[in-house]
Amino acid sequence: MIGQTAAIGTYFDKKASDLTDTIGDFVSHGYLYQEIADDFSARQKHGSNLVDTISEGADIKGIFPDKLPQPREVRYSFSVLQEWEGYVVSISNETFTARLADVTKNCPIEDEEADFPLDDLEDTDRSRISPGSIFRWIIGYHRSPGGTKDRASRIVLRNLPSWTKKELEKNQRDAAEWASKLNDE
Amino acid sequence: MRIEPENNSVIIVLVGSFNATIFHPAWFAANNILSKTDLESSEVEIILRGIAVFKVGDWLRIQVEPNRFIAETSEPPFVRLSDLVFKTFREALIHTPISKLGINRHVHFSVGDEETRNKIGKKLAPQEVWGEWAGCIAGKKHEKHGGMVSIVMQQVDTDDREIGHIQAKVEPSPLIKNGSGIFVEVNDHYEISKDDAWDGAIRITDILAKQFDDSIRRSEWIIDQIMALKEKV
Repeated sequence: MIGQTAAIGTYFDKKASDLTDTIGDFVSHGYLYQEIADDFSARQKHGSNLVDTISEGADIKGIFPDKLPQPREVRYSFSVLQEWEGYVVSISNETFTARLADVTKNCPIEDEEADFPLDDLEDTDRSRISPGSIFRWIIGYHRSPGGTKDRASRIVLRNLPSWTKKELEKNQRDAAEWASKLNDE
Repeated sequence: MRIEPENNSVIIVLVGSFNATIFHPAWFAANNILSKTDLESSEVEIILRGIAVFKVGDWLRIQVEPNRFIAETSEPPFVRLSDLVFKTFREALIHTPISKLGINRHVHFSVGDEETRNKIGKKLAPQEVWGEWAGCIAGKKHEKHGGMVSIVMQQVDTDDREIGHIQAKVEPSPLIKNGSGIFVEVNDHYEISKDDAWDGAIRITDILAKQFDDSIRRSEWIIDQIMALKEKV
């Protein structure tokens, strides 16, 4: 049973918790609009030049839509049965070969190899795939809003930051150090 | 997880100091964090001083406030969300002061019927301990029964972080309409000490990259403990 009158997500609750919590509750549209309205009023009061084209006494209530969207409706879902991380070893005209590590089983070593059709990639990923690219491959059940359930597979290239010059230099130094230690042994 | 969720999402929350107005889909695209396709499917809800909210298709929702950055996805692989946050604050905005990170897992699932859900509620929060009030909670008529609205448990003894905790909340699901739904939220919370706060976003993004997959696995394991109650009541 949900307490309909509980003060969840009110303006003051959110104000009090903003500074400390990392719980992923999105603030309500009412809260956002209140923030904007407060900001707007403060600027009017202090004569900010950012609002000087708005006539005094503007009706804040009329600015925002009456009917607010529902951000949390039940949507289609994808339930993951198995997930792998892979890196691309080679690419041919129609397929690519990759080494895979099982993420679901928390396996750190790429102990499997597989070929994938390039057609399985989204267009954006297809244009940027190259040897060494890292990706996630998931298989699971995809459920449509109508309730239809299909077995599905999805490949997504990871979008990680480029190595910086500093990081590359450090990696080279580390590699040289390890190579030197191996030679000594 | 032993029961297939009806609704399934991951939300990353950062606490720090953010300039919300720069967080526009076009900025993410210009920094190669979102693709052109993502940009085309983006929909801005609000971008004003102090607040930014936008969606990208069905896979991403971002909300930025002066002290919080929130990114949500309901589309696996969830690591895509971690990559987006990591690239944003490790490459484009590395000097942003960030002190806290939450990796949140939200799951709504059905236990089949309302009776089973009520039994699980009573198992998690027995009504007898409320003494004479217990009878009033139960109510005289079935359609007017009360019960557990929300329960939160916290683990503070963790060996993978200096400061932080793991918190799990269980509530009836408002999304599953026939009374059979349960909502579980796991908040995996990390903080850095004040001494480390000088290096902008580096420490927090390191934690995110290192912990994300483990956090998701652990959260799903916690949620699975609640799902297992269906067979025990």
